Amino acid sequence: MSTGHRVPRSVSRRILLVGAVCTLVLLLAMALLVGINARLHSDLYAATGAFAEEQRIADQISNAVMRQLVIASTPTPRRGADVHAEFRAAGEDAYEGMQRYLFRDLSADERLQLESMKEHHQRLEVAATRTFNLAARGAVGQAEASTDLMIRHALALQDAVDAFLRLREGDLERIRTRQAAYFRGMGVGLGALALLLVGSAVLLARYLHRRLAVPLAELSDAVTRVGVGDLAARAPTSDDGEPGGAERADELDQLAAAFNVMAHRIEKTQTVLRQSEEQFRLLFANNPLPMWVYDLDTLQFVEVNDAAVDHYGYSRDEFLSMRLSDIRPPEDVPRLVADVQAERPALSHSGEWRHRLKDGRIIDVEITSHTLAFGGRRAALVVAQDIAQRKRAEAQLHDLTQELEQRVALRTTELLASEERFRSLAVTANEGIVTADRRGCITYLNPAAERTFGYSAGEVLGQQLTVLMPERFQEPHRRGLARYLATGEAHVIGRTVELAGRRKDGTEFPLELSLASWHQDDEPAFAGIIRDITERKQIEEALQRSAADLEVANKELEAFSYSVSHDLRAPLRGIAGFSQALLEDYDDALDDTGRDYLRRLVAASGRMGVLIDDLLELSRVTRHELQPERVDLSALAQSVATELCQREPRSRVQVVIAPGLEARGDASLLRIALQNLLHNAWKFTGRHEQASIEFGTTERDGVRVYFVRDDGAGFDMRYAEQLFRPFHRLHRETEFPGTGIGLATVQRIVHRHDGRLWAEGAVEQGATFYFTLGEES
Amino acid sequence: MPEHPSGLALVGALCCATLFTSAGCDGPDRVVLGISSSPRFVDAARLALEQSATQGVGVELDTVLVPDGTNLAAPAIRIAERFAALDGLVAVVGHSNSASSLAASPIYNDRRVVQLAPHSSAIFYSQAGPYSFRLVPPDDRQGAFLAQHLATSLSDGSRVAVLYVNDAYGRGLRTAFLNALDTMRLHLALELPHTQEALTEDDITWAAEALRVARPDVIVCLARANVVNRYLPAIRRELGNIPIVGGDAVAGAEHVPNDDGRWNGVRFVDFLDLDAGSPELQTFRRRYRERFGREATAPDALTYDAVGLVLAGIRAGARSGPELRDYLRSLGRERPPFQGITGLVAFDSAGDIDRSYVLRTIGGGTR
Repeated sequence: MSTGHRVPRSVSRRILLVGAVCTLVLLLAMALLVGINARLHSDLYAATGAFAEEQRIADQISNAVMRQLVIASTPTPRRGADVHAEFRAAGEDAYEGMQRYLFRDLSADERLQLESMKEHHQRLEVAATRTFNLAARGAVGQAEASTDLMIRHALALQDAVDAFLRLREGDLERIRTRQAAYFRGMGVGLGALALLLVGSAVLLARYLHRRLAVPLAELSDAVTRVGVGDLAARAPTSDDGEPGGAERADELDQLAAAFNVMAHRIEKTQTVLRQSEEQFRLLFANNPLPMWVYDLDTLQFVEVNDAAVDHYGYSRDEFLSMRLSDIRPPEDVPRLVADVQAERPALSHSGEWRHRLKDGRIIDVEITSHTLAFGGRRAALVVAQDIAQRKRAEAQLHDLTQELEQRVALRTTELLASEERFRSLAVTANEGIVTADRRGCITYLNPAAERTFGYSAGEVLGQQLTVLMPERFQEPHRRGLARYLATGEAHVIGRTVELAGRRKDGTEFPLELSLASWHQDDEPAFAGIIRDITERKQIEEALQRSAADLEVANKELEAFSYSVSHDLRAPLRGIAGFSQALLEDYDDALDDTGRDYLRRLVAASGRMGVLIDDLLELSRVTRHELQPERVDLSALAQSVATELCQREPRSRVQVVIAPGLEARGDASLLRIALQNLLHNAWKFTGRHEQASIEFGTTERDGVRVYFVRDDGAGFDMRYAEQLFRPFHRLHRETEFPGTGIGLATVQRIVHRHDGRLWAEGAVEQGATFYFTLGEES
Repeated sequence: MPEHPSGLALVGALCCATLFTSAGCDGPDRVVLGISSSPRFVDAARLALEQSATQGVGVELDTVLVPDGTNLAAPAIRIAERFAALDGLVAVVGHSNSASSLAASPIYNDRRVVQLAPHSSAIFYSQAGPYSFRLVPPDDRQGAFLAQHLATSLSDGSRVAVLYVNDAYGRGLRTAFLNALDTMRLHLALELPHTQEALTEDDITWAAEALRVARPDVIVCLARANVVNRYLPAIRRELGNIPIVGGDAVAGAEHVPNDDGRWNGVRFVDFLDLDAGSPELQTFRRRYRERFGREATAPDALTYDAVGLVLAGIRAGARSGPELRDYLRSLGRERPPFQGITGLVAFDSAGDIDRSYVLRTIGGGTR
């Protein structure tokens, strides 16, 4: 059974866990044993090695002392210095051995014992030296006494060495004792481990018995009981009344639960089946329609309901002793046999039949049958519906149809009258009206159309509409008609379009066509209202010619302005230059009035230069061929602002430029526009201590609007329209210098971008210049 | 023997010290310094501690001072064991001589505690371990110095008798001296070893007779001053004013009673010319004299410097034996040498110091 959810593995996990824990305990125990063993072995090896080394040192000391004793005790013919040297060398050997002890890992007692060894050795050597000396001087008695002393110290030294070694042996003994303790502990540990393992095995067996064997037996019992029909039997699960049992569900619990679900479903299915059979039985027995089941091979009735008994008059037993042919008129039996023998679907509507009641009456019934297996036989369930009432209804319906047809005839008469009214309207209309059928054949032409096209109605009725069209429109018309008939897609229907018509004499004329369609006798029909627009077209052409002439004149005027402005610059430079030369070179020849005149002349020519430059820029803006592209207005404004800051530095101006503003337009023209607007803002805030200039965007009526706002001198809104007129200024030259061309230039640029420019402001409360760019709307 | 506490008293003092140090906190801001030496050297150490108390060392400092007048190895071992049991112990200044310092050194090295021996010159001490340092050079250099002095002061063929203490100090210095003497045109007439503790009057009488028989031109005493002091009457009696030259262990003898003039003319090796020392050394000598009523000797000054050096290490941040060991090793390398009253202090890789010798004469001057 695959249910898609994960089955908990608690039993297997716990068994795995117990196994893993036991294995881990065993491994740890083994590792511990190996480690302890290695440690003991290492300690013992080191201690044994150290003791062996110390034994060798002791041997070295003993040998050296013995040599010293022999040297000191033996009369020798050799020279005294050699004997002393040999004695000293032996003493050094002994002393070196004791020094080797000194740097070993010793206990305090061992160190004290070592010092005792040294002390005896020192005394031995002192006595030996005395022996030497006395012997050399022939003081034999004293020498022997000294020798005895020497020997006593040698023996004491040997005892000290032995005592030292015994102390060291004590270390070995301690290690041995420790090892014995370790081994005892190891034995206890192994015993405990064995007990732990046995206990674990017992617990595991009990666990397996409780969690596997018992649940399996209970499950087996439940399966057996269900197998013998006790569908109420269930396998016990852990959540049968046990708190928290569901959380502890394991695989067997899952299996038992799955089995219980299965048994529950079987029980439920059996119940449903029984209920279904009962319902079917009730449905059959209590059905108000006559129903029966008959054997398809023998036509014998095998079951019949109460309605059939009531309706046909036969008792139930009579029915069950009869065959299907027995309730048919004899003349219908062959058809019945053929129908029964024919191939039939599981559910068939076999039509209307005549049945004979017990009292001999014949009734019309409609039969619906359904083949089925009934008691192991091939049978059919039949529902017989008496259709006498339906027959009567059909007759009534026929009468109603007759009445309806009469009403339709009356309505048709009315429609004909309506058509007559339309015809009268069409005849008197000034607009030409032409109708056509689905093939495009003209079905009607009103008198106005006759006048327009020059045809009489009789000449064109039944002809294709193309007879009224110039040749170039005929093929598109045929394709459009075919497309409309095939797909219903109309390009002209419902619209008014300008086309050309062809008169009977072959001349063309412009016309305006409004086309409509409707359905007549389930077929589409078309009507066109035609207006001759020859005169209107003539007027439009005249207007276009005038506009073209005006544009040419404007361009010529702009070209003239440009050349005049351009050509004026050369003489103006001459006037300014010579005036300046006069001031500089002939200053002495002029009186104050002359110099004042010349200065005014220089200033005026300067202003005129600026004026000409502005005029030239205005002219360039007009003549410049637009090159649209995506323009980063924010970067453009930032660049202009930076230039302004560098050119006219001011410390307390805050320039705020909204980031990310982009538009489609001519970059060079938009830069000139922003230069003028921002320069104006800079200029008209110049008299304020603190100023703020902002370039940003907003939205008005769904259109993106850019603006340049300042909090400078502002203006009176009554004169707002005058702002954009060339040479028109709202402030005096002495207050704010300028030519009055800048805003006109901006307006020209905005207009060239199909945009709009306007301003809002108030005196000493700042001004805001808004503009749109055509592509934004 | 009020000046020399008995072993029981030593153990008692150390037990009290153990209780005292254990009762305190064992945090890193508390360190323990052990000092054990002859009583007079402990006085010098006490003077150094008093001097440092005015400066502070940046940490709570407990000092345990154990005077040890025995000059023997066994008591030094017992003291070292007790010292090693103290929590927070970073260093021990001691012990009183080469034999005791050498015997105790393995205990300190095992415990990773610095041992700074002020005036232990035994050759073997160089091998004691990485935690053992000293403020005097090893005796192989002193032996050569002594031999060189005899070679220049005696005529060729002169006879030399060696009287030495047969322990780590005397044996090492004797060997170094005799090795150097082999290259001189001098003759070894007699070697007379003795033990520090078991020396009897009979031994002394016999030694004097042996010396008389050997007829040396000079006696080299590689023994400690208290033993030489016992030998001198017999030697003077047998050999008159024979020249006597002592090793560094004789230093301090100029201040022992010399009513019979036995020490007159005795020369000995010393590590310092006290009279020609720095102003700081002279200040120390004055303070020592004023405080204890006796003249300071070179070992006193060395003990004073040893304590000062350890305190300087603690003041520099050393809070454990390894840190103090690193500090001592860094002197003269990563940091400047320690400026003591006995001169600049810096150690070689064996923990030894390079220092020159002077030869002083009792009742005379310095050479």
